[in-house]
Amino acid sequence: MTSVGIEAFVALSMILFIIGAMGVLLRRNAIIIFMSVELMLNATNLALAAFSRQWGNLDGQIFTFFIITVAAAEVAVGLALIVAIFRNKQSINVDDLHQMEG
Amino acid sequence: MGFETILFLALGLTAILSAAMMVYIKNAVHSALFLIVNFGCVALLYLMLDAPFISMVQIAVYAGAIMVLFLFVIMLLGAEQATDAGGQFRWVTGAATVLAVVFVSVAVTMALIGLDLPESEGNDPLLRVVHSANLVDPVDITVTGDNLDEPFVIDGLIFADVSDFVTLTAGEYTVTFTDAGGVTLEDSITLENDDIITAIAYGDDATLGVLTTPIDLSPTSPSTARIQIVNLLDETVMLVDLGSNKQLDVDTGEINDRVIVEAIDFATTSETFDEREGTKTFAFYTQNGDELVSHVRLSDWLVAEGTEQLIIITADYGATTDSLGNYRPRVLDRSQESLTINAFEQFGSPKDIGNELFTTFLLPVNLVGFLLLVALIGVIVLTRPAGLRGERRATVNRRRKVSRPLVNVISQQTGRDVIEDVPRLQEPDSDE
Repeated sequence: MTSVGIEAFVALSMILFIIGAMGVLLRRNAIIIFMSVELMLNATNLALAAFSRQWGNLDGQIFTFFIITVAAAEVAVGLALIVAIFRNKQSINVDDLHQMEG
Repeated sequence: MGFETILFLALGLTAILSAAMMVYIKNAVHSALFLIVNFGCVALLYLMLDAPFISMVQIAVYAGAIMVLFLFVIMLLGAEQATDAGGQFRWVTGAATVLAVVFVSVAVTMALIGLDLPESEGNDPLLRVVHSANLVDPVDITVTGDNLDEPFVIDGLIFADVSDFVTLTAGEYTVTFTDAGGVTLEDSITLENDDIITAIAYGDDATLGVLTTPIDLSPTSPSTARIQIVNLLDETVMLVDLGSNKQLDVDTGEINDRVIVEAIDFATTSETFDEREGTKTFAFYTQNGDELVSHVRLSDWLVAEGTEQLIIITADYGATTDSLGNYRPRVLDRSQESLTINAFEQFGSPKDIGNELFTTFLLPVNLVGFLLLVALIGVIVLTRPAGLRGERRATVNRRRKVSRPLVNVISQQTGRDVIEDVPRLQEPDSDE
């Protein structure tokens, strides 16, 4: 058992998640928003790995592995979407994308 | 403050700072680079969390593949300096800041107070029993303990036999050997989590007893096996590796062959030792004054890599006595049941995770595979060039037909006509 307790890891994970959420809320550049989402996923992974060690149960690490895999697929599709949107609108500012506004 | 704490603080601060810079900085390329730093820090934190495989996947997939994709798209779109000024939802800033302050204070308070979570309990202990005592066969073994609702019974173990491993919960247990003649032999064992214990009944009349040996299944160094000797012969024995000539080489009382274990007393277990893999010739001797008494020779003894062998030398109570009324020594052939150490891999190792993935999580693995396929198709559909379909494609094909024949090119380059009167292709009608 390492000397660093699980609380420290979970707190770090929470802080990283909040920074990611702030990025999603505050930035208008679609790519930065997307990177912030990745940061949030990463923070969750860290918490999962920390709990996995705490209980000596491998399931947490398996979940981390799945999240990384799904994130890779998600990034590929997301970036393709951004490229497609950029071709149509010549902009990746999310405030410019309001066709679906009511 | 220990080394780990300092390391954690350094990595954590770097991670938080790089994440904040990622969100804050205007240039998208710099943002992506800061995110790579953050992913690297998190990968090192995974190493601290006993997750080496996840750490490597993090570096390869996140810091490698995903970030390269991000950087590529940023540079492709020229979005480095994309404007961030949008007027419509500026009230979000204040709300988000308030929320962030609240959540960060919750996180910090939690870290300071502590969560008081239960610790990892480890694996349940395993117990097996070996019968090598002078009892009338067959022997019934009963395991009783506070944690068992009813006694655990192994019926009909004959001499030199070994039971399968029994999974128990940690606690105090009593193992009782009862032979056909009604003689009982019992011993109490304390089992803790992660223990792997062999209980061996041994001895003759006055020396009857139960010996417990723990088994160490931590990984061995490459090309070695871990061997442990249990001496249940009523003499102090030594173990000698006879080497390739398979003969004991004695010169003025000195043994020239490699003595592996100098002296093992009766009813004791030797220290474990690592032995290089291969086929060996071992022999047990007793130093009787100047004389060496040979007991048992283990010819062509297979020592396989990554196994744990428990070699038990005992008097052969199962056979008849010799002329002096003594039992011959015998080695219980444990080589067939040598435990493979690699089966008990370390927590978080690739083998361990692979084992879980392809047993318990086989269906999710397949689903993720399908998901990746769907994503691949999705990307191809999304990034298909918009113009190249219908009429445009037809024009492209028509243009290809009127390209000049190769002959013309050659004649132009060589300066003379290759073929006289080259037939010219008609220019297509533009109205066609």
